[in-house]
Amino acid sequence: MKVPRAIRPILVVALAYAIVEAGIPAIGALLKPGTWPVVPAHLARIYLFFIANVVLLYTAADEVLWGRVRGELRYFFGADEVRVVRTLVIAAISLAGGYVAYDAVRPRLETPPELRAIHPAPPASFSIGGKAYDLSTLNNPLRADKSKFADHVKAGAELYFKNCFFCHGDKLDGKGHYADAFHPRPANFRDVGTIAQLRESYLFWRIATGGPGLPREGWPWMSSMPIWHRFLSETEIWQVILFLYDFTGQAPRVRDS
Amino acid sequence: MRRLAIPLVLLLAQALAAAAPADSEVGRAVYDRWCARCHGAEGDGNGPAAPFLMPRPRDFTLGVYKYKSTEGTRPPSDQDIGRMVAEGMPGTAMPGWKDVLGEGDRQNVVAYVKTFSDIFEAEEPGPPISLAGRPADSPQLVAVGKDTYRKAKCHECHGDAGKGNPSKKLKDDWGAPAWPRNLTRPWTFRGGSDVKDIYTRITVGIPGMPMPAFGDAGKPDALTEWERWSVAHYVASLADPARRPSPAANVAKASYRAEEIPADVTAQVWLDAPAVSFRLAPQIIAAERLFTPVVDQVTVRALYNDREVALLVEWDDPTPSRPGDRVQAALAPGEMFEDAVAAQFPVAPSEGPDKPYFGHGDAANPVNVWYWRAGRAGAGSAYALFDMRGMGSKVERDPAPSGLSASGEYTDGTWRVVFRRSRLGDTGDVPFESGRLIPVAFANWDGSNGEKGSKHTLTPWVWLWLEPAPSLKTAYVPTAVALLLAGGLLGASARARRAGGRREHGEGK
Ligand code: HEC
Ligand code: HEC
Ligand code: HEC
Repeated sequence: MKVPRAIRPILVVALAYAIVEAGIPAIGALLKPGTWPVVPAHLARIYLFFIANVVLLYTAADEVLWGRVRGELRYFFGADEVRVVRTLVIAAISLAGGYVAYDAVRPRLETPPELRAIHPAPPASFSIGGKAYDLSTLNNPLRADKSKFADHVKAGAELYFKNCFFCHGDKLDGKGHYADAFHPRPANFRDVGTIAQLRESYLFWRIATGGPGLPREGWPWMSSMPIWHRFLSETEIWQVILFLYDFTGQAPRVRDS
Repeated sequence: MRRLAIPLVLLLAQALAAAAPADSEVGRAVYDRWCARCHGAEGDGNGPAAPFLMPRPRDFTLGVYKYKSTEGTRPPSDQDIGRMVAEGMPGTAMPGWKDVLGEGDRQNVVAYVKTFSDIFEAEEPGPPISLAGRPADSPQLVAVGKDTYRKAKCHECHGDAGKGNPSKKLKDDWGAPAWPRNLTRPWTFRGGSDVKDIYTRITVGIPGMPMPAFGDAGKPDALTEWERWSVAHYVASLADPARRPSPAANVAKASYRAEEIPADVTAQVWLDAPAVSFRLAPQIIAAERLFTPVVDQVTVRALYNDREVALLVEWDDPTPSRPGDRVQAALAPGEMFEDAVAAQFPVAPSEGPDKPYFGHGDAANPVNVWYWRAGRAGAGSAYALFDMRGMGSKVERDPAPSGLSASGEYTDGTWRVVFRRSRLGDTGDVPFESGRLIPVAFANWDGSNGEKGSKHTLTPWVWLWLEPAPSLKTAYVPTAVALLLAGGLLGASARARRAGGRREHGEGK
């Protein structure tokens, strides 16, 4: 069967649409199974606009081709033999246009994407009650005396189970019994993406200053993480940090020198 | 061959592990690592976390287990204890351990837990109760169950509508306050929500708790097997899964209404309004903290018209607490304060992600707080409007210029409070534009649980969305587009036909 010239440009554009909407995500899915990376709607619109224009130019640039397309269009719109098909196609195009317009103007509920930075860059220094901490030189002072290590971990465990497990979970998996009432969810310390990536000084800053201590890109207004320097002493915060690493078997990131 | 050998060895190892008797000495190590901080190193329920929990972690030294399937006063079976350890106990701090402990470890830790009490040496668990007589579900059976529910006086503890609102003060065997389960929320049942599980609870009761065993043929309040199945089916029929909060459902949608918004919360328009439920967490963030909440969720509906917006906030509460009410005060474990609820909004919702700090805003980003309280007995409820710029910075403002009002009532275990405000409000009030997502957060005070001031429950920021009224635009624009397209194409066709006709005519000449 020969496809009429007038239909071909439309088919080419439709094919391009299918590739942008389904083909590209499918390639993504092949490269990384379990994902379906769609092309953002505004990008897809730009691609299709250019493809449609190129196809139109290509068709119009060749006089013979253009003549044939015009002939076919004239036949489709004018000939009596295709009257029924014509009426149906005109009705379908009009209805489809109406639907596209409806979809564009109907009220729509889209909650904004949550692009909060989970580990924003810490400040160079911060202070609590007049005491300044320089994050580039801050180290966990409790690691020095190895003989007291076990005692500190034990004290840290008690502190954790009096203060943190409601949110971060008794398994340290971020699934405490109130965790799913908070948004964002409490951090999962067993995950390789949290404390294993961070320095102890970073944890000290996060625990001491809590959610409100985050810079703007960390969305301080959402985090339920309490400001712990109001409840715990400096030593106690270091003890909890020792417990977090000891219990999960993770190691803190060390300063690359 | 090698490929086959490895799974075979694994299978064999598993079979051996299953067959090997549980080893309580190995279980001790598991217990010390995972369980001791709640249940205590000595198994006495006094780990460091215990004072912050309600219900408290079980004291294993008494050998009392709540969720068992064995008859009468017989001790629980290993399967009973193993099930709680594997699945956890929804609605409590006791998590399921399947994810970190394998079958063998769980059996070992159960064996170790049993060593804390000598009850298991004194008596055999005996077989589980029979579930063979389970009748098929039917409306008649549920109707019989409804009668049995009254006959057995379930309503005296669980309330007429099953919301867990008792008419008498209840304590557990350890002296702690005991609130009956809200039977409309099977996802909080500790021992499972299948009809079989409910039947088992009704038959053997919940040891240590006021919940009686209705299967002891010797006792005066005993029920027949048929009655117990019927009431189990009735309990299952009370489930209201639409009210189960989900972290994904974080938008309260307000529907538009051309007419007045009815004050009567049982009016059909309110019942038809879409409802969404949010989990409440206790305020464990800033001093004074609350660790042991009772009320754990709110359900919100919203309506609006051209002038006003109205929020209906509902929550199940075991007691309507109004100081001065002697009957209710007698149910409260301690001093009773008034029940209250609040909704918080940013004064100036931004288009971007920025919001005021969810704990009452901050210096640069103030919030409005609408507050309703039950009031003293006989005095009626009251409401107020606060402006806040951070915790403890409450400034009260006259609600009248904003058009703010609130009223509430308590029926059958549920508070229903309606807040109303004019869409525009006064200066310093959040405006309610339709089609825009407006952040909102809720807080709740359960007076009979000693909640007052900063001791309350709360939600994080969620959204309120005034669904735009079906406007002329949504009807006209698509119609116009369709007509234009049809007109244009038909016009093109008419022209092509005329041109064709002329050509034929010309050719004929
Ligand atoms: C009220 C719930 C809550 C409590 C209680 C709580 N946290 Fe958090 N915590 C959070 C939330 C939510 C986050 C994630 C948001 C954020 O990063 O601020 C978090 C994040 C953290 C982080 C950052 C992890 C990372 O990968 O960046 C650390 C460290 C932390 N918490 C430690 C603690 C410690 C230690 C305690 C107890 C002393 C504690 N938290 C108690 C809610 C809580
Ligand atoms: C975060 C605290 C916490 C941890 C950790 C914890 N439990 Fe529990 N557990 C509880 C609470 C609270 C209850 C009581 C729930 C109730 O009474 O409804 C409980 C109850 C139990 C029960 C009683 C079940 C019944 O039928 O009465 C068993 C058995 C139990 N836990 C075993 C364990 C084991 C084994 C571990 C460690 C693998 C463990 N628990 C760890 C908090 C905890
Ligand atoms: C004397 C008061 C009392 C009576 C009477 C009573 N219950 Fe209960 N019931 C309770 C309490 C208290 C609990 C919660 C126990 C707990 O939290 O550990 C409970 C819990 C339950 C549960 C939840 C079980 C689970 O797995 O979590 C069900 C179901 C239940 N009751 C059904 C009934 C039915 C049906 C009746 C009547 C046949 C009844 N109860 C009569 C006090 C009572």
